[in-house]
Amino acid sequence: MEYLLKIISKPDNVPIVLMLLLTVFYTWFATKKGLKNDRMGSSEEATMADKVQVWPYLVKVEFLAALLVMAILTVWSIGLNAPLEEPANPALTPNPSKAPWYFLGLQEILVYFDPWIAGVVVPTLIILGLCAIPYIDINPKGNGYYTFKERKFAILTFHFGFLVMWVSLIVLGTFFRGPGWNLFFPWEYWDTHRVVALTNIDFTELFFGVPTRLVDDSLNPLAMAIGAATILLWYSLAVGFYLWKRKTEIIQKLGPVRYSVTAFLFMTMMALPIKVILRLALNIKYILVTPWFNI
Amino acid sequence: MFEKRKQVPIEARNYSTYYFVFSGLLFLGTMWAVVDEVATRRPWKEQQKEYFQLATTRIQERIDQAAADFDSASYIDLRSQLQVAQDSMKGERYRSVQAAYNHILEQLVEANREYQFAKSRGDEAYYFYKRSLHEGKEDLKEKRKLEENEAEMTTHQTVVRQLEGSRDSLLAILNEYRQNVRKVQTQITDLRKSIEKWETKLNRVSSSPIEIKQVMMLDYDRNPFNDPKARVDRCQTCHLAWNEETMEDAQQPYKKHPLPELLAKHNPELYGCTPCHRGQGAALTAGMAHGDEDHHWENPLLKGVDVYASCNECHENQSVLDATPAFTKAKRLMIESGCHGCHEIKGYTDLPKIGPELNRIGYKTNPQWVFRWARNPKDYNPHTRMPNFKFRMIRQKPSLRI
Repeated sequence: MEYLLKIISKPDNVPIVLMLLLTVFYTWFATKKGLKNDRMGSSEEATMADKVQVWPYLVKVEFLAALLVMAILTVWSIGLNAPLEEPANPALTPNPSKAPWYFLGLQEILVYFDPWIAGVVVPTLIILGLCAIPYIDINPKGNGYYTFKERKFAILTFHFGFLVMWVSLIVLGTFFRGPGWNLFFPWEYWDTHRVVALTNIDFTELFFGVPTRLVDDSLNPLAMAIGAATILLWYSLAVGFYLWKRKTEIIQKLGPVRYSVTAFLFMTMMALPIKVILRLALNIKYILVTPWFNI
Repeated sequence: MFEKRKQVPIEARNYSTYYFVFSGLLFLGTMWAVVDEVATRRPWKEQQKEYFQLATTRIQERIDQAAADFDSASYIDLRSQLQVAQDSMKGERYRSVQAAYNHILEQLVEANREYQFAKSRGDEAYYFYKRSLHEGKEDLKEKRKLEENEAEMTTHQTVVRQLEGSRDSLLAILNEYRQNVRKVQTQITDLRKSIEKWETKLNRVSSSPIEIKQVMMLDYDRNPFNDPKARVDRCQTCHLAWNEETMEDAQQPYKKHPLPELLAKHNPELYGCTPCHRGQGAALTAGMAHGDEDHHWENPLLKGVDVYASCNECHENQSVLDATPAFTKAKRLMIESGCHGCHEIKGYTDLPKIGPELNRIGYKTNPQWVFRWARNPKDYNPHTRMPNFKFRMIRQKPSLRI
């Protein structure tokens, strides 16, 4: 614990601790309000007859908030010095080398995927997916008031994507990844010389006994076929779900195009933690190995 | 409180308390930032003030000392001598000589002008005469004019010579009087010399601004790509007295440097301090500058005889340095032991080596480790190629720590 406290109290990590507290607070706040509205059957906000102008009633409060934030930032910058280290030396890089804290989630994904997937495809999909939300989310409910019941899927997906896939990976990258990007538990000392057994094995070899490479070191077409089939099977779950539920009102309203975009983004997002779990629990390296990319 | 507040319509809510508290916090924070910026993070300002006070006291002591040592008897005597000499310049003889001298100067100006005019007229006549020759009809009138003017020049020249002669003799008499005064004045100045030296120093100290004293060595360092890199030294912001003789017994940071003979060759105003002493030159607080507080700084201050280790940064090709016995001893030890036979050591690189470089060995290991290693290398690493030299163990009082 002593080591964890040391890491938490580093000036670098103050924003991460603050982010954690704020995230917990706002999640709790919104959930509480939403559940309350759901219980009452009508939203508290709708009963408020008193609507006021942005200027000056909102701007006034925002100005007060700005004052408080300025005061906090001033004291913060006086109290904590910039955590500078030794002069940069290209021949002696720090270990661990960590990305800026807000990118640690992406850096964490690098452990499980090829750089071009973790560094290019995943961020692009995140940005495009966020851009697509207004077009694929046609549920008009929840505008201007808190609710949970009326937007279960949207809220849970957001919580999964943001809290689990983004915030918790930042926490993992900050507090649990030590020298050599090895996993250290809070009670463990960050030993630079720590050795971790490298026993990763490919998916096909573990479950089907099909090695990824043949004896002449060329790729095994059978392994490739099994890997590709597994991934196709994963995405076809969404197709199956469509066929099963296509008569429901929601799917009808969504239409096949919006459904397929949503389903693709959703399945891709869910595939990410599955790979993480497979790696951490079963030491699975790749599911599909091709000459061009590995998944 | 909040429940009650909720009953009030938004338009009617009063935010003055929040505004007062938040802006008060921001004001206090800003004030704190100013204090922090001006005083808390700049302890050297107070140190300089303290130093200037200390220096003023000490210099004042020297002035008092010099005043006490002052030879007032000979001063009074000299003053009276000066009075006599100055009085003699007011006497009849001096004044008449001065008047005659002035008169001759006037005459000389006039005579010189006459001579110049005659020469000028002659030059004109010479031009017209030469032109007439050139045109083939000799102008005898111009030739005569030229000769007349040349004769006139000779006459005036004689007058000028005579006047100059009497001017010089008069000046000699005048100078004799002036010399007497000047001689006594010089003696008086000599008598006051030490007092004046200290007074000048006091003036300089009392008019010194509170400022960062910085030495820039434009290409002392090299970056990892071997480009020249400037080094900034601000040590003298606190260590102001490195060259101040009154501060020989002062407390640090105001102590005078103990080895002025080394500084005579390595002027701190050009080379700064960190090339020898190491430390973080750009830092302005003691802990950061010396490296005690900044654990990320790779070159903390060298203490004691260790400081001589940095001589090797520049004097790597020398094996004997008079001023630093520790350096000389270390180099001799290294050469006698033949380390350079296998290891690459700057300045001893003629032989092809099989051992790794020993540069900066002190950064990686400590003397105890080197001792243990050299006694039997295979003890520590069975795969090493370095042989056991079978050094004999002789207990000896360590005279120098290296």
